[in-house]
Amino acid sequence: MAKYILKRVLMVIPVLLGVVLLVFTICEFTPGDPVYSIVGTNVSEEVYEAKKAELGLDKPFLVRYVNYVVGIVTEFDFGVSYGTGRNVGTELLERLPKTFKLGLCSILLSVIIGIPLGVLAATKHNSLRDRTIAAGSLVFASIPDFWNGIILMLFFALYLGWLPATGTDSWKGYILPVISLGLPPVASLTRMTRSSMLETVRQDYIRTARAKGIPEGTVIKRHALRNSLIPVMTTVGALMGSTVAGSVVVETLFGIPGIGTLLRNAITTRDYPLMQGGVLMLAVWISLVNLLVDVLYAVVDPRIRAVYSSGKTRKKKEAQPQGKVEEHGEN
Amino acid sequence: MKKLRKILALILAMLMTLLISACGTNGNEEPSQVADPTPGVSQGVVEADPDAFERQTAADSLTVGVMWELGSFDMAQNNNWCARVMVYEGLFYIDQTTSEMHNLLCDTYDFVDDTHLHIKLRDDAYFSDGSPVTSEDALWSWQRMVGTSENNTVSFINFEEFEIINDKEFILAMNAPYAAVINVLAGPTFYITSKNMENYTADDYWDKPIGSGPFLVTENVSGSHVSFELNPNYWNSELMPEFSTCTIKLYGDASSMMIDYETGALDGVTNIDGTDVTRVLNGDVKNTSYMLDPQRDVYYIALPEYMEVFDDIRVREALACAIDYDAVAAAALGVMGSKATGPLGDGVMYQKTYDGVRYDPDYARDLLAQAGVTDLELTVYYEATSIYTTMITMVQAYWDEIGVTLNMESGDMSTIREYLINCATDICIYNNGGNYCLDPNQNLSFNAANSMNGCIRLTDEELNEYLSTGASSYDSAVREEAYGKAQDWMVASYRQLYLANSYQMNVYRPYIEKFVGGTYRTTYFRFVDFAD
Repeated sequence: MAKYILKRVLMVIPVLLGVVLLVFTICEFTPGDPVYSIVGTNVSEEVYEAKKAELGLDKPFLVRYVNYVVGIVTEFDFGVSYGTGRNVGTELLERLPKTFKLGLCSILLSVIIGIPLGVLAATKHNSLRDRTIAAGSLVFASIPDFWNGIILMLFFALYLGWLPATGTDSWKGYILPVISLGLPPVASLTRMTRSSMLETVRQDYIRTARAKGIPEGTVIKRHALRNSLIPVMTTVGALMGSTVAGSVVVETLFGIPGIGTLLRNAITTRDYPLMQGGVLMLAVWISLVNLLVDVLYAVVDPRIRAVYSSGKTRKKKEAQPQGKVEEHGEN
Repeated sequence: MKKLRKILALILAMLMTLLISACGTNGNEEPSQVADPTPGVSQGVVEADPDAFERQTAADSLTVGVMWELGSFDMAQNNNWCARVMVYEGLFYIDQTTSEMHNLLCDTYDFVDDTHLHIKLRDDAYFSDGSPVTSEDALWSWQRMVGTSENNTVSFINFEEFEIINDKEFILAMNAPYAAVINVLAGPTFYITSKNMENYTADDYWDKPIGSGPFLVTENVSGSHVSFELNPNYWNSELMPEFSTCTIKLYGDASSMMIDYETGALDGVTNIDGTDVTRVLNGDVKNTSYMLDPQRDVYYIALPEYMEVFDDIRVREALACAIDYDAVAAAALGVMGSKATGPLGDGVMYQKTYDGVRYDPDYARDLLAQAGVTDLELTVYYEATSIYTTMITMVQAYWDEIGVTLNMESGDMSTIREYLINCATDICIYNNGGNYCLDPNQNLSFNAANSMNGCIRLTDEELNEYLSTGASSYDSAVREEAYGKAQDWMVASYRQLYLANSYQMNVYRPYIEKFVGGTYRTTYFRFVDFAD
């Protein structure tokens, strides 16, 4: 198991280096000069060149890339924002907690609602309950988060006055954005859990369990649900990445100063250090989530554990059934 | 089962209808007061009853919403203007209501000659840290700001040297006579900041600015808000603000900002969305006052000098006559704009108004035939804002009627800027936003022969002579004549097809007597007055 986790952790390093190289390269070839974004178009050649040198953009691409990577590895330095002159790390750390809080709460909401709904639908296949849940999830999966965000804002903030429309000064401020961001994942998880459960409950071992007289609740909880969770976990992992990285619209709508709005502004102003730092942070997050999902796979699925078990353990395990067979044989 | 499906479908349809109807205004409701939507400086009140309206925000405070991402208080950065004007001050300021110029940190000034301006600072002006405002501070501020951002570069392009005479007096030397100098010095691009910030880091600039203004920064939360409290030792009792705390909340979405305003979380907001403007004018936003005033922007299409086909004025005139300007302005801006009346926007000094080009596609076709131009195909690279997109899409349709094909390629401003500078677009759509100064020099200098923007650059000697005379003469009559001739030339040449003037609407609660707006572009929240 430790070997499996170590291998997964080591795989994150080339992924992140690749992300940095990719973002750097994209920035290099993206049209739009950050110097003009700062000094405008009505400047002399001297002012332009001076600003370019000040930003270090007069150096060759590879030199800048190596300097950037060395800066991160040795000093955890992501550079300085062109827009504010502040350290990118500081800017990101100010904004990341809000985005993570929003993203994680949305995923939590979708797990709490989505998985039980999927199970409920699957256990009564083709019933009214199943169809209602399926139709509802289809509707919510189709509604974009900004639209349901505006509707929620109009009802609960403007008409009813129960919740604040924007801001995150209190926990109340998170309710509407979390629901807005969480509704599409609820629908996705419901649909995924439902289809996975339907596939599982048709398996022979479920039929066997039922034939043995095990109560239906136990069959569902202990045998069907656990085996259905592997594809659901994959979906949750993917959603954790995409929800955090894709929260820019909801952040903008609800006035949440998160990393999404920061990245949007960095892109429009060609603030390369901020763009690179932000994308790298998101890449780290997505890599960590994937790592977690991979580890959970191993916890849930004994087949994966078996692959990474040490030779000694594997031999021991392989020996055990043979012994049992012999014992049975003797009997 | 079929019946059940029908019922479910019906319920869903009803839900959707309810939700969609919640997004729009109630069209059946009689407007309580329909204001005159005539663009221009117009003000109005919708069911303003201060006694009936309960204020939600704290007393003795001002909470406003803006659609910007504010940043640092470092004057070397080109952002944060509406927050900076709370803590920094300049030598002069322009009254937003009357457009009159007043001294602020400047006690007296006089021109030594055409290129040297002698300024004496006030003896009683102090920074928030208690230190007096001196010539050294002015020099340090000037050095820090000059050439560091677009607005500063435009403003300081004529400034050459800064000579200190004593603690309170200095001379600004210019490389040529610069008539707009006082106007420029009144803008936020030349604010005097304390030299005690000399060793500041970027983080220090973020929330510890030292200025001579009436407010101190208490909190600057990136992407969220900036909070201020009154500087208890503010030196100028005559300009003491009417509130002791202020919060500028930042929004990325205009509709969210408006909802916050309507729930009472904000005392006022600037530059509201076109849809909300209509709602305000229809009386759908209760207990609100509004001001619709010019942004001093003129949207126009430039026919660049580097395109040979445009050398023939008949082609330029044909393209001009093929456009219905009223329709373009109405479609792109609605009540937030009107057909342009010339190269300068409303509110800019020495503005001349023209009747505009007659919409006559037949005449346009004749002109093209006379010029021997057939199957003209052009490509425009434009910034993908809704206004530009609407305008250029309509122009494409109008030009199509006279046999001119316009291919459209969009991008963000950073991308499009490169096409403009590198002369890589056949035409361009632009607006000559008036920066922070009422002087036409600020607007028209973008078109001058030395402009880096090749697409809008006009090298004609006659025009540049007018621009140069206007920029350098201290005689108002001479300037008026020169800028008048420059505008005549620009209109007659059809090098630029002026589409629309734009306006903005600010809304505020009835307990506010005077909000920001009027003729000046920068939002001076410090001058907001509350009703007694």
